[in-house]
Amino acid sequence: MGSTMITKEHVQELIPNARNLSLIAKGGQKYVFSGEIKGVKYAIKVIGIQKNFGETIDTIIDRAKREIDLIAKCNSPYISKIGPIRLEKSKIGQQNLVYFTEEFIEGKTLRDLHKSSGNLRIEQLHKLAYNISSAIQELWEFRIVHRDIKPENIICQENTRDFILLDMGIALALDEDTLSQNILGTRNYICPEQMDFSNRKIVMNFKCDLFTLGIVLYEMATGKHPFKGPDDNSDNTIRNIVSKRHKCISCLRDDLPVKFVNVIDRLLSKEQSLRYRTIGMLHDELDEIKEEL
Amino acid sequence: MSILAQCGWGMAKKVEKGLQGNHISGLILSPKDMDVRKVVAKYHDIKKAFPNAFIIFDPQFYVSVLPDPRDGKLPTYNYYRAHCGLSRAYFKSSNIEHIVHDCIEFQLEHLNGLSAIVSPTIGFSSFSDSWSQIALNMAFESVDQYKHKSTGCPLIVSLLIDEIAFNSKKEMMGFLSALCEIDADGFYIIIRRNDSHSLHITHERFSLILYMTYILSYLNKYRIIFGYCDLYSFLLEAAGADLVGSGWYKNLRMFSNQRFYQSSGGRRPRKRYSSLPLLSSPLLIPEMQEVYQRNELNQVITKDQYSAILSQGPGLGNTQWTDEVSCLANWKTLSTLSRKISQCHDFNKKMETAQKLIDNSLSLYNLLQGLGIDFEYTTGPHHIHEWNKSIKEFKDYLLV
Repeated sequence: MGSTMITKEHVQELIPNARNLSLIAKGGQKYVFSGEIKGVKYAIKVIGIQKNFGETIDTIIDRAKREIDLIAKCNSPYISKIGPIRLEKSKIGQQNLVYFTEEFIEGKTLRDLHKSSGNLRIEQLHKLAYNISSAIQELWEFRIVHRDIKPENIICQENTRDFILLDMGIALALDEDTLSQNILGTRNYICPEQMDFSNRKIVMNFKCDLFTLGIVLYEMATGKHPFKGPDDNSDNTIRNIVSKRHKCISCLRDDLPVKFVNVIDRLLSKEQSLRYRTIGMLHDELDEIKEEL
Repeated sequence: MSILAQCGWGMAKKVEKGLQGNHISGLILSPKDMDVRKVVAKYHDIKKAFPNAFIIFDPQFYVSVLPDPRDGKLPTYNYYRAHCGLSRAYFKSSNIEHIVHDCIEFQLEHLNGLSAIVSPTIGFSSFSDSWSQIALNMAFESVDQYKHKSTGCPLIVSLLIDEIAFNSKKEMMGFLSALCEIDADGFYIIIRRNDSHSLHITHERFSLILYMTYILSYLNKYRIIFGYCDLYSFLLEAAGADLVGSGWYKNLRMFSNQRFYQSSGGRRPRKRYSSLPLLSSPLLIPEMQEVYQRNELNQVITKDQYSAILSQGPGLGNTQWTDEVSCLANWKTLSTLSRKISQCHDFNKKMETAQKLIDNSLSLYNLLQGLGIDFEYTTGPHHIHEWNKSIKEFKDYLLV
């Protein structure tokens, strides 16, 4: 089904009191605009949605609303805050869509930071691991799994240099790069258990986000995705995520402390039981590493 | 790691003497062998005499699912469901709630001050079958109910796993991923054995048991207690176990369903000596006697106070080698082995020490066999070769 191109004029119609609208990113059916509401700058996210696996649009939206209401309760400084518009639905032509606002964070996405500065230094990697795992921990307090942790969804804040996790409300993210409700998450950033339909005992939990954090850390440390080679399509990548061990980090970069390499390796374990049982356990190890930096 | 007395029938004063001698650091009470009144009395006596002893109570609820078991005093316990050979259908959530409630309440009410509360469980033979799911459900229900109690006493989740389950690494890993969701202090794990010799366990299975221990202990920071153990306990410790239970009779060093069925009688088992250097329990007569006659006794004994009984030859010491002495000597050997491992400060050192013990044992077998001393298959060294392979496989698992 074709989708309607969303423009800032459309957003102006949706939010008449928004000012200085500007398109800052687009991916699949998701558009991100910056704009001011009552003098404060926000990111305005507009997402086209489709019926999925027999679910009605209203069911999808209701679930997303519940999720966004929970996210609004999060206090972590490493999670972007929900803005004054929590979630509204609308329609442009035949295209159903929802939109909401998030705190606008000045800074670069991790992807852009890596492009401009190259592989992150150990201090940056340590901070990235600590900040994003803290965000994962806070989300899990509300039994939320982010399911879409990737360099495009992490921003390095301009002033503090903290790493902030963006793009909450994954239940809405039904864009082209993202799979269905059952397999949420961008294809290159999913965990193996999302593809394991044989084991009924495994449930999605924060350990799924820990795995994708492991992918991000590996990529930011080495410049290479641990499971995607230059010629791999997304099917190959998924196969690698499920069954192939990543190339050793020290083979690609030899200046990282062994303990930190071990942390990334452990995050990238195929089995949930080999990852960290609690974020606190991960933080204990990161604290030890920090003392030695 | 410390050794716990795996209690059963015929306790007499063994536990008190083991605690006095510092061979053991506590005990695992067995309701099958003592009614409620006696368990409570024994518990309080020991608690009073040895306030620092680590004491837990294995509810042995798993006997409820055995058809027509010899369940001894278990029917005197209110949480036990007697003689019903419970079927899978029985374990709907409301029944699990009641079982868990009754079992936890029993321990809190009658055995105040236990070192940990142990949850009820049922046995399973496959990590992917419906019984394993029931075991998980009971574990999660126990955690759910116990978190509302403010006792300050930790909860240990019990598991009874048949050794056959360790035929599949994939299934074990799936189970562990679910198990590691559990917010408990640790696990009390019993491996149900099918072999008739406690030391004989195939390397394929034993390496996975070690790997499971490592995952739960080192990686997930659970406290691990193994019940019904024998001389391989030092390997479990190297892999991360904190405590092991071991008792005075063979059926208290190796768990099998036979413990809960009518004994077919027969003669008393032949006397054995727990040898640290051999990592085995050779027969007093003729194996230890033969070692003595070849002047190699010093190589084989654990070098503790009990070995003196054999100094004039196991033939002469035979009468003094009572069940009680045998039990205390076994605990002493296990605790000496344990000390060798616990002295090492990290995992790699522990594994190195364990490997050294195995290498030394194999060399000693070679020496003794070279002198013409024959050991029965049950004595060794077949089981040492299996343990040796287990260590190698276990290390391979750690590399992946």
